[in-house]
Amino acid sequence: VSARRAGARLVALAPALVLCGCIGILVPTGSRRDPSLEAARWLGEREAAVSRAEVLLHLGEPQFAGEQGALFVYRWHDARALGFLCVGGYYSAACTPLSIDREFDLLLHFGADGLVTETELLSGLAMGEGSGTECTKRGLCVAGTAWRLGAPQPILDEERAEPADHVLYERDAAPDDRRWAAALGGNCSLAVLPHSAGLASVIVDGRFAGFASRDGWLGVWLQPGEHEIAVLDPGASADTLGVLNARAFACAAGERVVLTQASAGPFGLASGALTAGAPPSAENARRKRRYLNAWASAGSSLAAIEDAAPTR
Amino acid sequence: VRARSPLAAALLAAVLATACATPGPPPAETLELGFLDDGATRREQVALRLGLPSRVFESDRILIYRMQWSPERGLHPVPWHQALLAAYDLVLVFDERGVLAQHALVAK
Repeated sequence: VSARRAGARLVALAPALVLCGCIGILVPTGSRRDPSLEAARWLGEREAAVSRAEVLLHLGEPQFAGEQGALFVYRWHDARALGFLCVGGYYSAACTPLSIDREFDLLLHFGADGLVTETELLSGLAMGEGSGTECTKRGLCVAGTAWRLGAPQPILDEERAEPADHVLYERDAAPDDRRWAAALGGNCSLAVLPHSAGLASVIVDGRFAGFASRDGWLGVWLQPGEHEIAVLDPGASADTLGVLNARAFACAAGERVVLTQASAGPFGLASGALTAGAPPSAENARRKRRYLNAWASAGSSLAAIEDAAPTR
Repeated sequence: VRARSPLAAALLAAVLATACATPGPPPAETLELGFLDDGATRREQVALRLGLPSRVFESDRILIYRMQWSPERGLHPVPWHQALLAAYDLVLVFDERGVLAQHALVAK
């Protein structure tokens, strides 16, 4: 068989392999929904005299604005690859998006005159439910998590609609386990890890608690007792609330409850059951990465991976 | 001749895959914002036209509206509970008299 003919056969075989779900596709992606590169260049060139208004006019709304507007955070995703990892059988096939991103958090500090006084860039590899924690030289830290302090607020609270996928805190308040346990006091904590690749809405006790995804879990502090939770996938109707994947759970004072959502459909968008799972942590993210790799090679199902995920 | 058939199959698969793609929103610079006139439009006019802003800065001097575009409605604000659907940020900067000084439509 000549090399040319073998190449032609390979070209013909590739779509068939893809359609039957035997291999993953790696497709380079751009920086959709991120500030443009032109805006970043503009900022770099004019850093000394940039006002808050100019920043907003060029970069748009920041992902995070704190300290009465004295701090903006913009997040860039440098997606190295985005693929659909598919596993097929004779009669069915299931696919799930798989991305490997490098995230950059650009922190802009403003002075009382509304001008940028300092810029800082944090970066980290984002995959799985934890992307690590970095602290700036001023002692401000960014965690790749979505902890929200306090009980869920009413669904009409617009502030709760902000898709915060990470949280800023002072270095001394780093949320390690000991501090969380102490800070919990008489409350309990709930960590939710949906299966959705996009941001899913988490509803606790009939109230919107926040957004979460497979890449960013949501943490909520609750009063001890019986609670109800539902996860609404992107684009899902509110009519499905309490029907598809709602479940009750109980948490005791000082307890940390972790719920993960199993895959129940293609592309990770269909709602699945919420089950008790592994606590979201950096170590667990590494474990999940290993399991995903193992899955890719062994062709097992995601549900099996989640079942096999170790608990701490 | 035999080599052409596999290539045609590959081409067909590529065409089918392309056909599944949905077009994205139009570039921000192509969208018209005719009702906004720097130096003339007042904040009240904007509020009457677009409703409550998604975010405000500097004591309401800077307003941000999350926007999306559709062939039927053109450019329009996104309700807060559908914030993730927004494709653009409309940034409006007013002067101390409440008159629009600068504006920009920033693609997300």
